[in-house]
Amino acid sequence: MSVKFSNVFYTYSPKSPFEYQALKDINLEFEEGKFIGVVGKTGSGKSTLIQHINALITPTSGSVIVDEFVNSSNKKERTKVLKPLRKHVGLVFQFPEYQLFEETVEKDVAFGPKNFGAKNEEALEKARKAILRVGLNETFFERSPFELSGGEKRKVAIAGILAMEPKVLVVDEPTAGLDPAAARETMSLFKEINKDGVTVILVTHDMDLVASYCDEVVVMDEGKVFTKCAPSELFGRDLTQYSLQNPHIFDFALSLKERGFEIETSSLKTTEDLAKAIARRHKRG
Amino acid sequence: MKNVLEVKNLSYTYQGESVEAIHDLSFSIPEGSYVAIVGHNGSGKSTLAKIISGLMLAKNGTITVFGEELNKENLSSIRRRMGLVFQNPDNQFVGASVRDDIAFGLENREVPSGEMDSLINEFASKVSMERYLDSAPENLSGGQKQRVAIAGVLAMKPDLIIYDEATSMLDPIGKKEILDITFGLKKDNPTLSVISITHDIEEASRADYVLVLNKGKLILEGKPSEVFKEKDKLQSIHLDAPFLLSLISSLKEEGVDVPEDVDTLEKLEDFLCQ
Amino acid sequence: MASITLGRYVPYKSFLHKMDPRAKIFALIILMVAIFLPYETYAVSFLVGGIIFVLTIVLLWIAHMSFLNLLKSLSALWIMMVFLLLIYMIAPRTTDFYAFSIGSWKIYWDSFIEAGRIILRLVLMVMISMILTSTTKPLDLTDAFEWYLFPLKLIGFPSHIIAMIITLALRFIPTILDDVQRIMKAQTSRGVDFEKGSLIAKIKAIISLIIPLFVSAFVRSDELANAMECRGYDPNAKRTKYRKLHFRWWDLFETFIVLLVFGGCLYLSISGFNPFNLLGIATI
Repeated sequence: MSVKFSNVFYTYSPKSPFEYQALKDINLEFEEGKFIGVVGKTGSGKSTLIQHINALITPTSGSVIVDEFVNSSNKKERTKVLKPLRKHVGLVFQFPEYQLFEETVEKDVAFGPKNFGAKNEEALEKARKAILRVGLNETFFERSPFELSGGEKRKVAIAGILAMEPKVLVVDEPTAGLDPAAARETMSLFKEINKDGVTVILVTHDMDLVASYCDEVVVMDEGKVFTKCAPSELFGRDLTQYSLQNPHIFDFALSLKERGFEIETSSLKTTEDLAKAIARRHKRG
Repeated sequence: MKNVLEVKNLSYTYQGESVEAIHDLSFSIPEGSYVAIVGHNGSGKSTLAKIISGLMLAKNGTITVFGEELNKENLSSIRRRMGLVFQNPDNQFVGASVRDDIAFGLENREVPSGEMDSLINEFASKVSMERYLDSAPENLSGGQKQRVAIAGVLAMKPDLIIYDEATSMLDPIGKKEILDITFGLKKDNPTLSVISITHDIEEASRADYVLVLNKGKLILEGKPSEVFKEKDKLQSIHLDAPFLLSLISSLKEEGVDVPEDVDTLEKLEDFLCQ
Repeated sequence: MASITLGRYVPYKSFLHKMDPRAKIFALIILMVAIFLPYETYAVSFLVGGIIFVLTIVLLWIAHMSFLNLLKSLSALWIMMVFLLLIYMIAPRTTDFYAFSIGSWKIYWDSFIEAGRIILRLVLMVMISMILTSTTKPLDLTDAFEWYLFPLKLIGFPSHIIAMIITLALRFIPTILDDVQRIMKAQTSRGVDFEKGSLIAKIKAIISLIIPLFVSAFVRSDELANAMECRGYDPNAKRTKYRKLHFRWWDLFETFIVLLVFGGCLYLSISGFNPFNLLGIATI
């Protein structure tokens, strides 16, 4: 399932003293099956952008097309009932553990599928599958989500989205507040889901995540798309004006380059890659 | 050198739990040092922060702060000398504006009203928030709110600052600002001690000492360069090494002979470019 | 949006903004009492209402508030006016002041006058309160409130704690509203429909909002309590105050004028004196 923005503008509280234009003429396509990062500083329009994909907000002008669903400012073009769209686009908000409310983990995870018309047993079946998928075991099914640790709650909340079997998964800062091991686990879960053909859109500040997981990266700045390219292409540039930091490996590679120590950066993904590139050059002298 | 904090044989079990959150912990922190306590969620580091700050009382073991053994009686006088910054920027912002939030601590310390304005200005400028004195918290970023929290703590003129995952909810820029401010404060006041409970390995690599907790036990302690050398031990508890050290060890595997005295990225650059 | 922002504090630098909130609260209460005093005749009632109305318009102008915007935001009041009018048309009449008839149904002027009087009172009340809230910081209001509770403090009532609670509540309103927004969006993307649906679906939708909201509020209050404790807050200890209220000569002046107006109203109410009689105008 692909997502296409054409000429999307969005203004908060129009015609009031609080009027604020959050998106300005967005033309963008998230191709099916890709793992795409969306980065930019706070207030750059990232979260407004992703809420359009799920039709949580309607463009002030322009349209967002997700498969056969059209979320447009034009009432005639707009798909009448947009709720089914939300079944196909799963949105994991920041700190999603604050959306849990049922008395057991499996009931909470089954909440989404049930809202989209699944029968009770079927929903629970999907829920259990999703709970196992996020790395929790059977003992969690009957437990209360409120007695779990922070990391476990986060997993349950993510399972709640996965249980809807979305074809596009949008995740907003999924690793915020997690310790490194849990963050890694969460990210590799999304990578696996992506391998199954789900388009994953990752909103983040963490450029290290972009470097190691994303096929493409979209940089937002002041409501506009500054660029869309491969991560390695982006990291060659100076990003300070977008309040973004290059990942460590690129930072170091760039300062080496500045001192005339040329190394190949286009295919860098991990520290090991960097070490290999440096070693090749170092041995040549 | 004096110790600002001494922990001896500390154990703690939460009510209704069978596993100890902290098991027989002993360590000491010298005055004027920056100590990072790292470990995963559930390693006991937040429990430790709560005990040190007196929010929970230890049942076994002793906590000695500023040379005094912590108990119910001296808690409030000891607390006046230490400041805590917590994880969630929203939930520690008490005042309706930056000005009022910094004033909150001053009011508690019974600072005369007439002296407050100059103190507020002084501490707001220490965290570069002097331009936002009349801003409401909902108009500030997470990083800015944490800077206000630090100003609020500084206004108490503490000898010890404890960060309880103070940067974990911030973006990289916000994180960096908090660290820079903290190192700046330490430079201005060499006797100020900082304990930072964190899972930011890069931050830990800049500390004077690192304590690594796992399942309530202290499994490693020492200077960052020593602690992060223990690759296998760290890997067994899924902790990463900081970028510099993991790059050096990868380089060594690739046959690049990095000298032992390389302990900053700059030095590594110098070595590679010579 | 406009109606929500109305009555919210707007940081202008007018005379009204500079006034002591205690004097403002005092004026508010006194003027309200004056409006609601019982007057012998409709004419006097409207005279008092009219004077206070003019006074209020002047105050609105001083406070940089737009009367037109205010009227627009009071649209609910107009519906109420029609409703009141209907009630008074059915209600038994007190005078014999025939206006016109709809078929065999006689309508008396009383209905209009009575409805008009109530609406005037309500409009005045809303206008005066909005002037207070849009020229006074919530925090200052709380301080003034605490000051008025001072007599209770002497008998051991913890007015400073109540004031702290109000301050914190005001501080956290925007935060909690953010939570509401966030949770609603999160549940909407899990297929909840907060607008349409059967009663049961609606109840379920509300539960999916309320429970997470409470959980988050409890976490917040717990952490806030810890943070306050660590920053040396002790509800029973003595504290100094950063914000001090200052009662200046103009506050005294304002209080004097308000008392004067009130005195006049009270006289009109108690004596039953009708100034229109002096002018030889017949009134009802």
